[in-house]
Amino acid sequence: MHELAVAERLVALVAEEATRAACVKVETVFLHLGVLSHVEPSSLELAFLAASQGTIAAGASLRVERTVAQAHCLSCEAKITVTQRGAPCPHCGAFELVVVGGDELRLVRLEVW
Amino acid sequence: MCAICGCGEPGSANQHHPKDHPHVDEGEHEHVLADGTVLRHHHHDPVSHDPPMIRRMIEVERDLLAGNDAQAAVNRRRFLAAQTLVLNLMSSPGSGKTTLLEQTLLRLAGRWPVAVIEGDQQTSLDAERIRRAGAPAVQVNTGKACHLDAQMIERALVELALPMDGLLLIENVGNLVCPAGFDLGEHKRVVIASVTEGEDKPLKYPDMFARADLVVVSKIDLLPYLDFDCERFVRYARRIHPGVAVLALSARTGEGLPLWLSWLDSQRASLG
Repeated sequence: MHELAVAERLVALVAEEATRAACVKVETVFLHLGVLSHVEPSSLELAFLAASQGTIAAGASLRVERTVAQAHCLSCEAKITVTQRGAPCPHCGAFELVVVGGDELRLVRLEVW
Repeated sequence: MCAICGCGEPGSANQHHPKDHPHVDEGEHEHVLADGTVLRHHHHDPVSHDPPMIRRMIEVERDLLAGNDAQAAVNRRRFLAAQTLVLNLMSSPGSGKTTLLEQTLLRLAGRWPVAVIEGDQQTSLDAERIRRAGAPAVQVNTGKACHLDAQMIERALVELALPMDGLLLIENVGNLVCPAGFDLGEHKRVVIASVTEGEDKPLKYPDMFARADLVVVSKIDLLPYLDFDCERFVRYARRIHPGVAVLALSARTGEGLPLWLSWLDSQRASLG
């Protein structure tokens, strides 16, 4: 359950930004999670609920946007969008894909009071 | 009291509503902010309130693992300055990581200085095994955490001297999922899978294999008793990570160990 470690870092970042902006409550936390990142959104949500207790982020809801990965097929040279590891190229069926991105874990925006 | 007109303050003379600041009924009033926003609300009790709260958006753009990545970069610079090759060894529990390390230490004895960081949820059993094999070792107990992170490595290096011009082996927590996401500052990531785990592990745990620099197939002395298909395993590993280097060995019989040791040599030479 490494999502707890990620959630603890998320809470620390949210608290830092909320304090800097002198707000009293965090309503919504907007995140970008790459489809190939090692974080499961529902586990992160649960971990965030636990990790945010007693902090300014307590009670905030998470709004997660999944971001995709791009890949280059070494077999047919196609540029494709990848949503999971180990899937073949949709054009030629080969597995020789060089994947770029898709692993981001980013806090993008806060809705605050 | 109302921050704008002071109405509602006990004893205040201003209990009436000025024309530019209408209070429609008991305590209800509005504030017009500098940006034109109108906030309309009322007080049930004639008490003071803080400046009005406004819902707003803050653009942030921060990487959740930036703290770990920054520490990993510090670790990496330190390793390079000491000319220490650092490997992060990851696998499921029971793949034979510690046995491979023991055999590696025996074969490198007198050639390179080697030190080991052992990560486990609890106990110092592995660090004791490594010390018996003749190398300095420090045990990191992660408690409830399922992986090592860059800060844990920094703390471990308070107790453990970096082997200058040598090799630091970090045995991560036995787990094919969680350690994959945390950079420790290592030069290379080695994923070990034993033949008893089956050929499908790369497909089942793709995040781990996608980030490996070398995949080691261990316990090949057991192949006669199993249906493990090495070629299929390699095909699956390369489906996840095209072209990844794979080598097979048995730490128990020593088969394949020369290949592993020459891979270590080549990595150490490439440190420059």
